Amino acid sequence: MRTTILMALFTQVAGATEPTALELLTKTDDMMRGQSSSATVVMDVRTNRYERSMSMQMLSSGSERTLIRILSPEREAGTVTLKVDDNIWNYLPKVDRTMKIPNGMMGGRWMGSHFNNSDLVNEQRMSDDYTFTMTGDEGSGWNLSLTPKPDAPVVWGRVELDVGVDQLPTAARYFEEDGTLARTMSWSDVQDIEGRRVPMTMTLVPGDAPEEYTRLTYQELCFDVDIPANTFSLQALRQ
Amino acid sequence: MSIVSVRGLTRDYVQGSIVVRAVRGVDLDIKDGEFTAIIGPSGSGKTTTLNCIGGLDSPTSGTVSVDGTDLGSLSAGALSDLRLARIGFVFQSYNLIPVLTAYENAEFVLRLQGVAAKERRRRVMQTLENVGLKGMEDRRPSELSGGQQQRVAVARAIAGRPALVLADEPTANLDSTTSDSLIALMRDLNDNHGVTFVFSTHDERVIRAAKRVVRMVDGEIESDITK
Amino acid sequence: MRFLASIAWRNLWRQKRRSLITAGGMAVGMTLCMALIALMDGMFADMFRVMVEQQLGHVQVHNPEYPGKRVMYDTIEDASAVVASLDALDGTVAVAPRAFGAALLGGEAGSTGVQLQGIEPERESALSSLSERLVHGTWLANEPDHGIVLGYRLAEKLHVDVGDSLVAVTQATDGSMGNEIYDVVGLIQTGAAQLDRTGALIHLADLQELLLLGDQVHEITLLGADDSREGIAALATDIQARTPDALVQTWWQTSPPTDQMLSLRDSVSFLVLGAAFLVAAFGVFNTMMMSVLERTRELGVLRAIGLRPGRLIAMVLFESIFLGVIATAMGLVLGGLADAWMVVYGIDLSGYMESGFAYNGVVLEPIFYGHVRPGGILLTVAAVFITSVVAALLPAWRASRLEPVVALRHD
Repeated sequence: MRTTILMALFTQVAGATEPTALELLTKTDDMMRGQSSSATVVMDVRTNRYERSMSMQMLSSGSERTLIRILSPEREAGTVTLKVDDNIWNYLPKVDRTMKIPNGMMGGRWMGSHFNNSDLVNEQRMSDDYTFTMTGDEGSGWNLSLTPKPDAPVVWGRVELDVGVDQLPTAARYFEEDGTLARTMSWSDVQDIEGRRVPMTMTLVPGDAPEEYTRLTYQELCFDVDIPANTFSLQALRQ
Repeated sequence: MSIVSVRGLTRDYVQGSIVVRAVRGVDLDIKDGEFTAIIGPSGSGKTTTLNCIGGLDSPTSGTVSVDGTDLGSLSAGALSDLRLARIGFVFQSYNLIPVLTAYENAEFVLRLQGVAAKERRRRVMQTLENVGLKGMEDRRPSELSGGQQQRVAVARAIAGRPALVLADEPTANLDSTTSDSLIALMRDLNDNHGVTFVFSTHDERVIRAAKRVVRMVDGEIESDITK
Repeated sequence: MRFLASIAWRNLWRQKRRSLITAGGMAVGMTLCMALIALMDGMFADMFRVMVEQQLGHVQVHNPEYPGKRVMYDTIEDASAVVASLDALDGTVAVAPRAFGAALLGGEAGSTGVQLQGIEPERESALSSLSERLVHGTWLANEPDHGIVLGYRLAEKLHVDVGDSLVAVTQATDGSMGNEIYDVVGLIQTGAAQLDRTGALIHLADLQELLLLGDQVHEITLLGADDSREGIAALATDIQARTPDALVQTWWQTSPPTDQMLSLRDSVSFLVLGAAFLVAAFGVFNTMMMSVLERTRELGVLRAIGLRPGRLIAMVLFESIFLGVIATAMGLVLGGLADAWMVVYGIDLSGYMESGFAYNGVVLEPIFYGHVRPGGILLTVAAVFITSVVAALLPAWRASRLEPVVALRHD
């Protein structure tokens, strides 16, 4: 599965018994999705060309609907990205227009970060698309090696997943078909939020530029919030 | 000293598979001031001998020397230069250059010799006067009678002041009156201007005018009489 | 030699009709060649104008990293100062700075990815004919006013027309999302598929604002007053001296395929000449051979009275060259008329092609006008002379090899 910007939002309480590989993978899958949530996130982007920091409000309902509203900086404040199923729209307050991202531009960068638009829409589960092997134990954590199933609609050639003793993922390395490292995602700063253990920081490092990164840090995070259904509609984007 | 020295001249022609020996071992010397007729029946080898003396034809064996130079040792270019400087030709059928006037035909050799324009003009005019063509300088050959054409040919042959003029049957195409005056002209040039002439001919008038008569039969000299 | 030339000249007129027919044949060949070469030169001049001057310019200036990768950040900095300095350079007639940026362009009815081109409208008009390709609306205003000119196919795809507005969204140089509304002011139809389908032109200043480029551009394209290679190379050297850190390339360095294509001109000319004069050569050869053969005895006389073989060759060649001179005189008159026709009226192929034809994304007009180059005429005249000499070599050589005694016996 492709790492998604939303993947760090939700997590499950770790179980007490020795987990199977499937269980660990399912937990990782589930950590990245969930019920409704509301969060304030700071996104720090560092590239060789620029550094920027944005804060944004993220609302989600299941894995199908997400709305992200930029709060700062001022130049982009009020910009909203709405994802419903496989579609993404951007609301641009400066010009007061909403634009749908065409399929041809799903590979484009989202808000100048290392995430691209298609990272937003990915809903696949690793446990469905990959075959896997596992090493490790409760004392040291686990390493899972994932290989795509023959007809699975995935772009990676291989994924390595590191799972900590708390049965939460700590890092995932995604490799191209030719074996080169494409990106590394890592999770850290695990906190208890409403009884769930959630990594509050998620860092994406591109494989070809290890000095660059995009880091998402949760400032506030609430689960099971009541979000009106019409929040995730085009009409609501202009607020 | 001889202008021309022919020694053991033999000339064979190949006609199909038959070898015809036109000249058989001729020895002949031509001295300065001669007026010599080589006579004999058709096929006796007189024209071939004349052509070999003029460097137009080359001997099968034997040597031809002009001014002491063996013609057989010369390249085509050097042979051309020797003819240009030392030998004048008069042909049976005039053989003037049709696109040139009488004046230009006579001038041709002088041009090739590189004689300066002024001198050229003087000599050509003088020569044309000497051959009796004064006033006809600008006529083309087609505008001249046969006798006049042959006079132009003589003028061309002598204008370059050659050591020797070779004339091959010069009167053959002319009527008797015209022949007489042409012969008289050449004899006059010989007597009064020291031009050496060698003819091949069977014209009785030429033979009568000749100072020396060489008779050839079957490629050999039968008699050589100096009057 | 003058004397020989004079005889040769007179000899030429002995067979007046034959000489004139032969010369006439050469003249007709020359006329065809001149006309074809003028047409070819016209086409290639057209191609040069469209492919080189309107697209590549004579000289292009880039950041050394920009060509190939075309990364937005590899710019020429302080562009205004650089452009002003190049304006001041002797021998430049147009200096056009350009910037490029990938953007999402969308209206109410759809959106698509395009490559925005930022241009200075006035400067660009001095260089390319894009402003003449408008099918609807107007060209960009000289001052930035958020106008946009689209390829007509792109406009169809976006369901917009002149008067509608479009939003462009892009990632600016600082990573932020740049977005702006532009008003469609004009549509262009160029015949070049890429421009018609994805072309989107806005004012350079507008694009710099959208991309936060400041005073940076990606490309400066120049036209010099002298369009010869030497002139362009010299201009490039001058430009390099003023922009020591930039990559300065002549058009043939920028686009070797264009260079190869345009260099076909001379090959094509030579091919045309070769074909026409091969035929003419047979005529000359025949005439000179006849001329020599029918004068065998005369040539024998000339050899007998002392003309060297080399000078005899010269005489025959003179005759042939004079034939060439007459042919040239006739050919220049006829060919001149043909050239004039080509220049004034041209050849109209619009009956066969609707709107010109595109080659490599370049559109040529369906009417081809002749372009007369002194070089083209010189080439033709040279071909006549070479033909005259070469075709007469064998007859001349044969004449020089005649044995005087054999030639004299010839009737």
